[in-house]
Amino acid sequence: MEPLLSIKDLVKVYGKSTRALNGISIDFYPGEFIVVIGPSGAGKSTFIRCINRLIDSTEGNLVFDGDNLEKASGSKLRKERSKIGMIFQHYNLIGRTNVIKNVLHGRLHDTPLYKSIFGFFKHEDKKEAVELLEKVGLKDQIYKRADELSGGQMQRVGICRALLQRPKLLLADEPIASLDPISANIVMEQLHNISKEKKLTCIVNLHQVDYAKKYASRIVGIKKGRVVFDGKPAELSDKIIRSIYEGKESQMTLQNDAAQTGISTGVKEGPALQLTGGQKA
Amino acid sequence: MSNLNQKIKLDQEDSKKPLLIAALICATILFSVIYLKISMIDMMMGLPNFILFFFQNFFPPSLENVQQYIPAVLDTIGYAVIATFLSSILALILGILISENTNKFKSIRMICRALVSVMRNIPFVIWGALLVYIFGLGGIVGVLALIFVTIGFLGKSYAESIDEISGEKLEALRANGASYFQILLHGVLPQFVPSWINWTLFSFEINVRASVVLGLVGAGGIGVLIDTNINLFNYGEALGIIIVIVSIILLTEFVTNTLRKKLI
Amino acid sequence: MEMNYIRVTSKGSIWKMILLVAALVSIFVLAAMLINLNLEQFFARLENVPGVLNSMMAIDASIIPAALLELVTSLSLAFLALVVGVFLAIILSFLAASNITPNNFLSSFIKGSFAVIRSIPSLVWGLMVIASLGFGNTSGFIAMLFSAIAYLVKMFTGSIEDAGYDVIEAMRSTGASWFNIVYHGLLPLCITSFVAWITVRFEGNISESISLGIIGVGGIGLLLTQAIGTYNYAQTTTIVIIICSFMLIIEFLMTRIKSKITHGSR
Ligand SMILES: Nc1ncnc2c1ncn2[C@@H]1O[C@H](COP(=O)(O)OP(=O)(O)O)[C@@H](O)[C@H]1O
Ligand SMILES: [Mg+2]
Repeated sequence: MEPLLSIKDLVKVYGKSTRALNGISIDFYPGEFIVVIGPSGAGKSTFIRCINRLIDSTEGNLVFDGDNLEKASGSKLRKERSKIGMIFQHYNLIGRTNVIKNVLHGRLHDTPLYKSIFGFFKHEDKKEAVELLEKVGLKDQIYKRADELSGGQMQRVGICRALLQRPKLLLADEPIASLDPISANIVMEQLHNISKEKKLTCIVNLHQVDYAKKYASRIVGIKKGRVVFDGKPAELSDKIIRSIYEGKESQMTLQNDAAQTGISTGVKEGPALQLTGGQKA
Repeated sequence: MSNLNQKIKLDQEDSKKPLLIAALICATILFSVIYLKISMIDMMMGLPNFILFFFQNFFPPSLENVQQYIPAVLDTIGYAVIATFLSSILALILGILISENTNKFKSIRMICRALVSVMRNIPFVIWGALLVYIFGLGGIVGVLALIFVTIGFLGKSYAESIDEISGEKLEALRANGASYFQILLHGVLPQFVPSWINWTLFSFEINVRASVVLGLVGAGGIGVLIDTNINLFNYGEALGIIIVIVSIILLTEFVTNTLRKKLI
Repeated sequence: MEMNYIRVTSKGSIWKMILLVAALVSIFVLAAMLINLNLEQFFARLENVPGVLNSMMAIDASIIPAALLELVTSLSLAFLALVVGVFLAIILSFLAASNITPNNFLSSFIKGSFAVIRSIPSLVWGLMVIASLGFGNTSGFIAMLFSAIAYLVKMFTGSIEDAGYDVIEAMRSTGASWFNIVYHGLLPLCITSFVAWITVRFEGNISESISLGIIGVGGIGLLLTQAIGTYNYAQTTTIVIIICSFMLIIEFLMTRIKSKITHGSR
């Protein structure tokens, strides 16, 4: 099968000497749900931002969907970016703008400026935005200002915004790191389900190994800017995990504990989970 | 044992520093008084003398001719309104050009910052005097002087507020494939609106005040009437005008405060 | 069609927006008609600009020593008015702040009268003071004192009121007197914000003391007015450059002090 995204010898140097990415070569195939794990400072965020060129890499090749990404600029770059959705740790919604407009930001790339100013989006775009919001259980909050929502709700709006781009690839940088365990479960669950349903390729940065094992179809371990593990969740042994987090074990155990309590509360709070699950149906 | 006799310090820090600062301030005061050749008696008696004079000569205010001042009052407010409108738009453009969030070209940022700095740091009446020099007496000069200073003030304040908008949020729009102007309109402006309203209302207050003074440099408005009347020893009349001015300014503050509460 | 229409904003918010824009536009138009600017004259005079600017492209170094001496005069005036103003304003603010005022009537009286004093521009104070005390530095000092105190009283009272009642209650419960509460409790609490306001006011004072020259108080403002009055372009340019660079230095220093104290307190 042709890879959807093919990365060769990706290097990113910040300033003079901070080598955040140290030569990464990897291929991603359509339909995969990839989780990238690694201690903080390993280069996960840098890696994911190099893919849609929010950060310009120092060296390396990026071929996405048959196009060379690293040379694109201006409107060509914007067009390529529009095919890649992104979800952020801090949601990054425009707080004083209402929910549906935030979701419609996903279509700015093919809406002319003068139309977007007055909110003249295409009917089908608006319809799809409402449907997406309905799917994540936010139908009643459409006209609320984004900063009036809870963290979990904001992240679900963030997912809708990325999905409205009708992307081929979805990037997520620590989508649940700022959420409480229950919201984190809901968000991961919805992200996973929707990408399954739409046969989307997902690359998700996480530092919780348990979540990675639960949802990923493929796990990539990054350490000091290098890929140190690439394989099926089942192949990720405790020994490998320990070597990925070597020198930062405290982080691993801490995060592991957090994830575990997260999941166990999630189970305990079964009814609550079901309730939101019901909403989205 | 000797510890017992030692003084217990109440401050951890070096107690010499405040003393040094105090000494420095005293020295500067002394220098200023000597340099200005103000006698201490004059300085101390200045305030009581003035207050005495004020109550003896300015009181009672004469409010008989208030109606005559209405055109001048309206002019004063009109100048302030026009200046606030125009400079809030021009300053927004400059603010966008100065903020790192919205302009990545360092050289342009620096040029605009310097421009705004110069506008802000030349006192308002001096702008007025210089502009009268070029354009002659009249209302245009007043409005221009107000605009110059207000752009200086607002440009800096706007830029600081735009800087405070988190770059992360704008990054999200970039990831959506939005163009520069779309990011500006859908990302920057909505977040900036509260500070925009706040600063602009504030600058309106300042402009009304400044607009009163404009008359003194020959640029229209109500200020010149005070000067004329004082020079003619019509102190009561002058105080009447001052009372009118105080009312305008207090009213302006009341209105801006109400708007602020309503809009934000 | 109608049924299917999906609105992007909640009901009514578009009308509010249109109304707001209409109101703003009409205010602008009204004001423009009111002041009735002579735009023709403006554009006609615009032709003078290159000429005037051209003749202003000159510097007269011989005025520099005198200008610097006068600058020190302006600075000294500003400083003196600031010191006395701060001293009086601190006393008045503690009497006026609603959380520590010894008497509510006194508080309202101080706040009210200083609101009035504040709304009179310092140049207008200058005119009145000159009328009573004549031209000279003392007049400049008194004129600036009014606006400095009025500004500082407002800002200081705000800072004191922000401190709330907690400290006051705690100290009152130990039996501390009014003066003790102010001196040992509130003053240390508020001093950083006081200093921040003082730096802001110092900038304002300098700008005012330069401006007062226009109405005949001494200082570099007077020198500039004389240069303008005699159409001495080179001197005008020189003095304006001196004023501007001096203001920039002061702004830089005050920003430094402000950031230093706010970081120190963290
Ligand atoms: N904007 C930046 N400037 C300089 N160094 C950076 C920047 N962003 C990240 N880094 C450095 O790059 C390395 C990788 O960071 P990051 O990609 O954020 O790691 P992770 O997301 O895995 O925590 C770290 O050492 C970090 O300090
Ligand atoms: Mg990260």
